[in-house]
Amino acid sequence: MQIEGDETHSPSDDDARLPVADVFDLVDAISESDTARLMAAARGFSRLCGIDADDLLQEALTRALEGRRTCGRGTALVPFICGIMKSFVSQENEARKEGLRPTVVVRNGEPIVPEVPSDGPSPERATISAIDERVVLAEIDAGASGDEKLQLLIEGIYDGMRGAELREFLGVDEKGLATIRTRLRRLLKDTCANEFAP
Amino acid sequence: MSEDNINRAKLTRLAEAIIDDIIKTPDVDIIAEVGQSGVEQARTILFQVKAAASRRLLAQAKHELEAWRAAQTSRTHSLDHAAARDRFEKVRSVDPAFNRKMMMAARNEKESTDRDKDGLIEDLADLQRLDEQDTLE
Repeated sequence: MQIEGDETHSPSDDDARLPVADVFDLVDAISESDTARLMAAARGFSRLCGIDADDLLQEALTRALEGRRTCGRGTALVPFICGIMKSFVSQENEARKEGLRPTVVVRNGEPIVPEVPSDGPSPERATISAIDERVVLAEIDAGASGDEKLQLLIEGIYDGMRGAELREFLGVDEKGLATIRTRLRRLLKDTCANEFAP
Repeated sequence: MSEDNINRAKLTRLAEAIIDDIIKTPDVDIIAEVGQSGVEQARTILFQVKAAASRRLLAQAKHELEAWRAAQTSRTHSLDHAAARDRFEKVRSVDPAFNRKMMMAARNEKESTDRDKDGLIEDLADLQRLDEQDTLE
């Protein structure tokens, strides 16, 4: 599936991009079911990126409505906003920007700051990110223990399986797959609720 | 591939599967799953973000309009002044009596000719602007 929500594009792409005014129109015209989809996605992604679901949805919408994220013409609002939220999960670009800072090197006891910041996540950021990912994956595995089908679904997704391949792997039909996927979303929502519980 | 990269790939695939799944879920089921309170909460967020973004865009548009107006005023003034100077030089060249008076004033050191000229050019530019406003009205 094509996930939309690119942050960078060349000016020549402008004609092929959805103007911000059109994004406003899409938000105005959003249906109840698509509103529910955005909230479901925010809840699903929340635990994966460690951001509260409401904050995640708010930030993704803000970026879309301020034109900081753009998408191709003809893209529906839900995949567009979901694509932005997904980028918080993969965070590679975010980490590169936020972690961009001069690295202090000590020589003979004196700090030396290079003129050009290193183009990569800061060591602190990279360490935190790696720990978070391990913790999240461990929590998902723990939450799925005792539910064999759910464990298989998660393994299949991790291996890049989709649609028919997943159904075959799990030995279920379309409806059966949808049921197990709902359990996965519930699991993510529950771990998210534990994470952000007061 | 390092363990960190493997973990990141797993999370990315999980996120893609969530999007795929949510888009495919029938309307009735997704509304039931999120619940009416969840839908209302999302609507509130949509409304708040849209209002905030609109305010920011409006403020930005106002700022840009003011900057454009300031640039236009400065440009118009400069054009008026150049046109008035041209007219003044034409008047001087076709009116020998006027030109002679200007030169005599300079010789008698009653006034600085340059200051006289600048004053006359300003007056001409003002008259030209007033004429244009009358025409527009």
